[in-house]
Amino acid sequence: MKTISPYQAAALMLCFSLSRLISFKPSGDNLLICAAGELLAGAALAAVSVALPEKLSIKGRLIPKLCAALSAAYLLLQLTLLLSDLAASTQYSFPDFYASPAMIASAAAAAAYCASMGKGGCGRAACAVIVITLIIFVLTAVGAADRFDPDRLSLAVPDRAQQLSRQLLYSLGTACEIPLALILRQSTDRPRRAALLWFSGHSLSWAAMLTLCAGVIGDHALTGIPIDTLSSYSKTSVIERFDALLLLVWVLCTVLAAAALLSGTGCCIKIISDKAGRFAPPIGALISGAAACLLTGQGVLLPASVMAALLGGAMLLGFGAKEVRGC
Amino acid sequence: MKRLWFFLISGLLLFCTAGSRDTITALDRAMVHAIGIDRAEEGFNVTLQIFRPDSAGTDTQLDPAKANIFIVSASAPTVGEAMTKCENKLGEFLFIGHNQLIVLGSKVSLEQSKRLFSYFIKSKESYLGAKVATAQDASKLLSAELSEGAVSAQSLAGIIDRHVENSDTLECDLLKAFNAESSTLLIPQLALSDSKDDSEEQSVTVKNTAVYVSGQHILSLDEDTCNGLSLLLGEGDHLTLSLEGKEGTAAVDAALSRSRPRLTRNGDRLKCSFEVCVYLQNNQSLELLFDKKDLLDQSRIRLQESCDKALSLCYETSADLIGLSDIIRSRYPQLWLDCGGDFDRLLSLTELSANVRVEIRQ
Repeated sequence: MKTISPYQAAALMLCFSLSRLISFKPSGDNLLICAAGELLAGAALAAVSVALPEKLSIKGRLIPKLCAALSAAYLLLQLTLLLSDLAASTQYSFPDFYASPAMIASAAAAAAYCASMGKGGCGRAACAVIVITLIIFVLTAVGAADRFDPDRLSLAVPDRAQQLSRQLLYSLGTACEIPLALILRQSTDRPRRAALLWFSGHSLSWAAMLTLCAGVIGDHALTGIPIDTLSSYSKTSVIERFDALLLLVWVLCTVLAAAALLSGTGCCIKIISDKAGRFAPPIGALISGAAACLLTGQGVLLPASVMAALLGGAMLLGFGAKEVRGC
Repeated sequence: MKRLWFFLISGLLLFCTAGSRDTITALDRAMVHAIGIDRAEEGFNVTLQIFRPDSAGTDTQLDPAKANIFIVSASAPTVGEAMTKCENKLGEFLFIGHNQLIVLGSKVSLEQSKRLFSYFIKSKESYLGAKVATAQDASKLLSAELSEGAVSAQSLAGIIDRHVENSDTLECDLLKAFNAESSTLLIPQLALSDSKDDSEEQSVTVKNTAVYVSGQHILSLDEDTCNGLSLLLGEGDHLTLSLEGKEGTAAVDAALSRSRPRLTRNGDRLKCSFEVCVYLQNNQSLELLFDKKDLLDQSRIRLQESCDKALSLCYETSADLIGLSDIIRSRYPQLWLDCGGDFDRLLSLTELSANVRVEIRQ
């Protein structure tokens, strides 16, 4: 059943991209190279998404269910990392004020509620959130434009190729937009347009914001969270700092991205068992929330290669999926 | 039914997360407007200028006739520890989110700038764009009763802004100062003028601009050199020149335009040229007091001398006053890497020049 427009589908995927952008930590790598790696990864994933046939099914009962189970596990893992990242990054930026379990529990509950509204509700909310986020980005850019110096943009690092490959692997491993696209394609009548719209928004936002960070903050952007630093450095005549507004849009994007992941998990579980699929979103939120609480602050990270392999497995959903009622 | 469950859970979470014991109300906070750091026997003497409105019994709490500040200071081996001691003395939590200015005493070295400013960088409240200035005695400067403005720190920040706009000095903020140990930094030097009569009111001005190379103070720049640097870096907006006219010396206002330096490579040699354009607004006084051709020549010669003085200072002191290292790093990254980022090597490869053009805008 086609329930959402390609714009709504693209907005849901963009929420995930923007949430990753706002919490992005370069860990010493050059920002321009990180942006290039992210663009290359996005292009590859968008090309795969566009090239996939509209409908392809595999005969048999076991293989589609296996693909669905693998995809559900991957989506829940991504949800856990998303919630953990929100809590860890917020604690890094605002160490005195926020308790991680409370943040994770609130975000997971909000995401489960959004997921219960269905893809249509999530899609409409995602469109509004994307507009608000882009307005905040533009305001932040206007406030920092005075301090932008093109001479701070440089590629003077000795290991450019290694940094690019590192960023490419990281992006491919953590990109959940394509599995989302594969799930959302069943609900939209123009899935290729959705993928292209997502890629345009993703490339523009990552390229523009990381370039702005590099040009305004310079080498200081290589440590910490550059977008967060930029927002606290940016100043206009009306608003002196933008970090509170950025926290608002960050949480909004994360909650909607989490809701999309929970919806996807529900779709995957429905393939295995129709009854279980109805309870999958709240139970998924509970499991991921608990796992995120345990993970936060532990510094546990799966290797990028494992993540990329899981992504490949999740993409098999596109081949194994059937038309699922209500999905 | 489903929505009811979710609303119940959300409500429960709201109750769980609100009223945290770590919440600090606004009444328990002391708003720090300016921070002074001087060298002391123990390590550092930190002086805080706290906003305290002095009511005159009127409708508003803020009385513009009074200083509206409260000073507290403490000494400790590190800035962070001194800040904690100040907090203990005040009996309130410090809020540095509205901090406008950090003043460094003349004896404070920036050789370990990251360690010096670590308290500010690690605090999320801190505004990275807070201005940084130096003074002979930071504590005395922040304690002064200023004649301008209702809040001293705001006045000091405003004074620095006006000097920067008029190309008399160059701006420095916390983000730039944080990297002082590995770069060249230009910091405005504030000076307190002695009161001429018995009144307590004093005034502050920007006397010079201090140059720090790798955290060490090597020289102070006068106004003329700062004019030249402002032109080259495109940081100031205006400039006032006193030139000889038909009937004596008269002031001429000039507007500066921003220009990017041009860097060209010829084999192993680099040539960095600055094209500076200055506009004089045509008005009645200009036509009456000056001959146009003479005016253009005089102003061009004066500004060219300032720019050449600033450029020659780069060679004399080996200080990267014009950001040459960043320019080469941006446009020829491989050359920069081959030189290891060493400014002396980069400077030896580069020929610097400036060309000033003056126009009268109708």
